[in-house]
Amino acid sequence: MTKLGMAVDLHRCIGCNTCALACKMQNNVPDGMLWNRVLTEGCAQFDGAEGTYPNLTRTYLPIACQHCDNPACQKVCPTGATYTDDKGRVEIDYEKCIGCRMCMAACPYNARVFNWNEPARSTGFDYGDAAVPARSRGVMEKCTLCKERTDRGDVPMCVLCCPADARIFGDLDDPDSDVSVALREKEGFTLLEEKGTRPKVQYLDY
Amino acid sequence: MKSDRIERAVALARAGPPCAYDETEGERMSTMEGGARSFSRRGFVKAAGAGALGLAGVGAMASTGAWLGPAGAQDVADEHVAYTYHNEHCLCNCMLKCTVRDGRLCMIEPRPNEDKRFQNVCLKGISEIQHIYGEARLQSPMKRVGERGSGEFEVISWDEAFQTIAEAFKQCQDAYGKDALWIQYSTEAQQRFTPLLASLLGAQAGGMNGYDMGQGNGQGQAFGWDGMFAKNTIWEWPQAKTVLMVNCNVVETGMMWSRAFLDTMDAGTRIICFDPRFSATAAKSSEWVPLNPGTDPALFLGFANHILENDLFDREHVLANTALPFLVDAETGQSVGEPRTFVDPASGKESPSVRFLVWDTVSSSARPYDEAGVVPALEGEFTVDGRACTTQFTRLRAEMAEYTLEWAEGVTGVPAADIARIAEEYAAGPSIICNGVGGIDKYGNNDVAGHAYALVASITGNYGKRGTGCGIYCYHVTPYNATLGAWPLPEGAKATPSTMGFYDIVQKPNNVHAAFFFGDIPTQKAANWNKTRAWLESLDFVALADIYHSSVADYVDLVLPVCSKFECADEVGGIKCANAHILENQKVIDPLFESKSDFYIEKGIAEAMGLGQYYPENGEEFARALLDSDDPLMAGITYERLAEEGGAVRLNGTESLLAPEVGMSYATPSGRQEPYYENLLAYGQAFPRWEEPQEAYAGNPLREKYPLSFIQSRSRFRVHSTYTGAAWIQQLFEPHIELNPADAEARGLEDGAQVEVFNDRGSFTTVLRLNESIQPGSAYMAESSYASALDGTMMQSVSNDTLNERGYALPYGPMIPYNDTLIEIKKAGE
Repeated sequence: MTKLGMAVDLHRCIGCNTCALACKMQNNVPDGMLWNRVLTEGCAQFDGAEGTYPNLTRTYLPIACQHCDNPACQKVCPTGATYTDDKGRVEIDYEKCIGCRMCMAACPYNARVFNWNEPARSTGFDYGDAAVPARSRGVMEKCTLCKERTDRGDVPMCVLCCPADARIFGDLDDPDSDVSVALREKEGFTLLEEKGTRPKVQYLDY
Repeated sequence: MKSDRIERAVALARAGPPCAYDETEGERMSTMEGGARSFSRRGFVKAAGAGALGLAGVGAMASTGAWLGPAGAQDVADEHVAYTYHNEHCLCNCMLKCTVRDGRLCMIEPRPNEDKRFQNVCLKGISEIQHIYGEARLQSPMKRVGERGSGEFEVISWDEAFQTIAEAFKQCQDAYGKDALWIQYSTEAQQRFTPLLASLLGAQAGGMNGYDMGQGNGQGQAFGWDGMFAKNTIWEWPQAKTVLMVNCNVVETGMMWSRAFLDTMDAGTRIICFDPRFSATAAKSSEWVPLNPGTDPALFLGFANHILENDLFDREHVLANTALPFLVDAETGQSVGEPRTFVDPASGKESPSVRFLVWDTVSSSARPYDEAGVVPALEGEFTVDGRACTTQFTRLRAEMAEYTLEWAEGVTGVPAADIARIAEEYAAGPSIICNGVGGIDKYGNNDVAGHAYALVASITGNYGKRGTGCGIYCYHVTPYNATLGAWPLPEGAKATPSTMGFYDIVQKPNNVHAAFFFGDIPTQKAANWNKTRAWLESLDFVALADIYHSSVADYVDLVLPVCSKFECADEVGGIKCANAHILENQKVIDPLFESKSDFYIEKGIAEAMGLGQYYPENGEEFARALLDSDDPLMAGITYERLAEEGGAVRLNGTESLLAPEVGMSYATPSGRQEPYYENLLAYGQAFPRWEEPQEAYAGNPLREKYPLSFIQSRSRFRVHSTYTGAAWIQQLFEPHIELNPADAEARGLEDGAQVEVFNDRGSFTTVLRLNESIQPGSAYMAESSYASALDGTMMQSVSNDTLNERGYALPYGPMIPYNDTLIEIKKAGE
C-alpha cells in the first residue's frame, strides 16, 4: 500500500510563511483563507517567544490538515464527503459536502476552512494549478496534500517551495523513503497524540 | 511533553489567529466582492476627459477585477511558461518559473536548477500573483492638481507626461546648470537595463548611499577591500568552528541562504547571534547574546582586551602577516620610514605612505619590515633617529587596556563571563564574523564596530585562512561577477558626479532644483521625514516613477506607473549577473494597466527632449548589447541561449562556490593586514575606540523625555516599503510597533492599542503589539510601510538624520543613523 505523508522539521522551519502562500497559490485558495498556516508555538503574536526576556525560546509551527489515519473529521461527516483515498490522503468530495461544518468542529487541529460566502479573489481571477477543482459557497476545504500534484508524482507545492528544506514528503509505508527514514532517525512525533487521530503529517524537533 | 506544548499552540490557533477565517472576515470579503474593491484612495480626483484616452474606467481608477473582467472557472484556454528573476533588493535574486493562463500570471514556482542552492522562491515572490494586480498599483500617469502632499491628482496621457517632464528638465538645467537635475533609481522600480537618462542629460545620478556600508567603512581598510563584502563565501562556514552573526538576521532577510546557515550548524559549527532582539536568526542560532542596542563596538573591544590580556592572540600570525610590529612615533602615532607612494590596485588612487620599519631583534636596530633576515620585535619602546617610537602592537595594548570585561559588561549588558567565554571560543578558531547591514550599521558608531571586527580577526589569525573571515556573507554568495557589455552612449555623455549623497541633498545647501525618482527614494533613503518633505517642497519639479502607490507619491508633481518585473512590452526587460548566473527578465505578461518599464519611460522622456536616437530600439537590442562582453565567465551566453535555457545560464567554470583561499597578501600599503588606521589618528580612531551612539546612549538626558530606543529592521514581509500593498502579505502581517510587555504595562498600554510614536523630530501612529522578544527599554518595528498603512503618517518622522562627521573621511561616506533614535510611545489621541 501507499500511505503518503510528510515530516515537518521544526528545527529547520524559519517561520517564513512561504509554504502558506505556496499552498494558497497552488490550490486557488480564496481571500481571507489559508489551508496551511504558520504559528509561533505558545504565542498569540507571530514571532513571539516563550519565556521572559532574555530567557526565550521560539518554535515556528506550520499547521495544515494532518491527514490522520483515524480522522475525526471523517467520522462525523454525515454524507461521506470526507474520505480517505487509496494513497492515505484525507480528501473532500466537494459535490457531497453539504456545509454542515461538523468536520470543522471535530478537527482538533483547526485545519479546515469554510466558504461562508461566494469565494472572493483579490486578483480578480483564479490562480494556481488548473487541475485543482473549484469550490463554491457553503463548501468546506483544506489541504489535500496537493492531490493533483502528488497524483502526477510531484511533491506538494509547500515542499517544493520551502526555502529551508524543512519538509520531507513521501510514502510512510516504504521504510526506505526519505520521510520514513527521517521520522525514524530523528524521532518524529505527532501533534495532539492523545487524541488518537494518528496523523500522517508528523514533526521533527531535534 | 512536546504534545502539551503543541496543544497550547493549537488552542491559540483555534482562538482566532489573523489567518483563520471567521464570519466577520467573511463579511468584510463579501463587502469587497460587492464593489468596494475599486480604488477609493483619498483625494484621487476623477480625470477630466478620461474617455479621450480611450481607456474606459482608468479615470475612475477601476478595480483590477473589473479591469480584467470577471474571473472564470479553471477551463484552460491558453497556458505558457516564462522566466524572470525576483527582487534584487533582498539580494536573493530568485529565478522564477512563471505560468501564465489566459494572459494572467497564475503560478510562480522556483525555476528548476541543477544547483539546488539557486532553486528558490519565498513568500514575497509568490505573493506577486496578487500583488501585481492589487489595489496599490499605480495604473496611469497622473499629474498633481492640489497642493503637494494633498494627494490630489488627475490622470494624463503618457504623451503629456513625457512632454511635461521634458520641459521641466530643460527649464531646470537651462536655468541652473546640468547638475541641478537629480535622477535616482531604486532597484525595486527597475528591470535592470542600465539607466541612460542621467548620463545623456549630464544630471546627477545619486552619490554615496548613506546606509548599509557602515561596518564596511570600518573593516575593509584592514584587508585592502575594494568593496563591502567578505572575500570568501557562506559555503565555507562549515569549515569554521564558530560563526559570530552580528547585525545580520539572514533567516528573515536573506532567507534563501538560511539553508546554508542551518547546514552549517548541522555540520557542527556553532553560530552565535548578537542582537538586542530575539530575532528569527537569534532563535535559530546555537546561542543568542542579547546586547544593548548600539553597543556592538564595546563588545568587540571587550573581546580584544580579553584576548590581549590572556595571550590568546596568534603571535606568529601577528608577526608575519600584520602591520602590528611596525614602528610608529610614540607621540603622534604616525608610521616611521622612508616616504613612498602607495597605489591602490583597485582604484589606482595614490596616497602617501612609507617603507614601514620594524625593530629588528637581531641587529637591535630599526629595519624595513620587508628586508630579508629581520626578526621583528612585537612590542617595545625604541628610539629611531632620535624619535621615541613604539610598535603598533604596544600602542594597541595600551589603548585596549581600559576595555575590561567589567567595562564591556557595563556598556553592553552582556555578563563578563559570557564575553570572556565567547572571546576565547572565537580566538581558538577557526572563526568567522558575519555582519549584515542592519543594527549597528544604523548607529553613529557603525564604523567602530566594523573596525573592531577587523581588529579581533587580525590579532587572532581569523582572517585569510580557510574557515575564517569577516564581512557580509549572506547577500553575496558567490565569488563571481561577470562584466556585462554596455550600450554605447555618445562621447562625453556622463552623469555629473554627485559630491553629496541623498542624505546631504535633503539637508544642506546645494544646486538641485528638480528631481526624478524611480522608486520611493525620499522616504527610504533619508531619515527625519519632515526635513525630507521640506526639501521636496522646495523643489521646482519632482516626479516619481513607481510600481505601487508608495508614500512619496502624494508629494510629487507627476506620477508614472512602472511595470513589475513580470511585465514587458518586449520579449526581454532586463539582463543581470547574479548568483553565478546571467539572468534574463523575460516577458511573462504584457504591461498591466498603462504601465511602462523603466527603459521605455526613460526612452519616452529622451524622445520628448530630442535624444531618443541614443536609445536602443527595444529591449532585445539592449539585451544583446549587454550580452556582448569579453568576459570569459560569460563566453557563449547569448540571447538565444537564455531563451532556450529558461532565462538563466550558469557562468562558465563556476561550479565551486568556495572562493579561493583568501591568503595572507593584501591590497594594503604594506601588503599585510593593517588594523591600524593611521588616516584616522585625528579622530582618535587609528585603533577602534569606544564611542557612544549619538542619541540612543545610556546616559543621554533626552531619555527623560524619550526613554525608548527605536530599532527598525527588515522583515520577511517587506523589502523596505514594498509589499505593504500586497493583500496576501497583509493576511500574514500588518504594520505594528512592538514593545516588551513590561514597558507596555508601565505605560498602561495594551496589546492591539493604537499608539502614537513620537520625539522632537515628529511622530507617527500605528498599532502596538506586545512581544517578549523585544529588549526592555527598546521598541521595534519592521521597516517600513506606506503612509497609507499608518493613518497617513510616516515612520521616518522620528528617525535620526544627524551624520557623524568622521563618516566623510571613510571610504563609503557617512551613514544615516536611523536606529540611533530615542522615542516615547503613548496611546493615540492622548
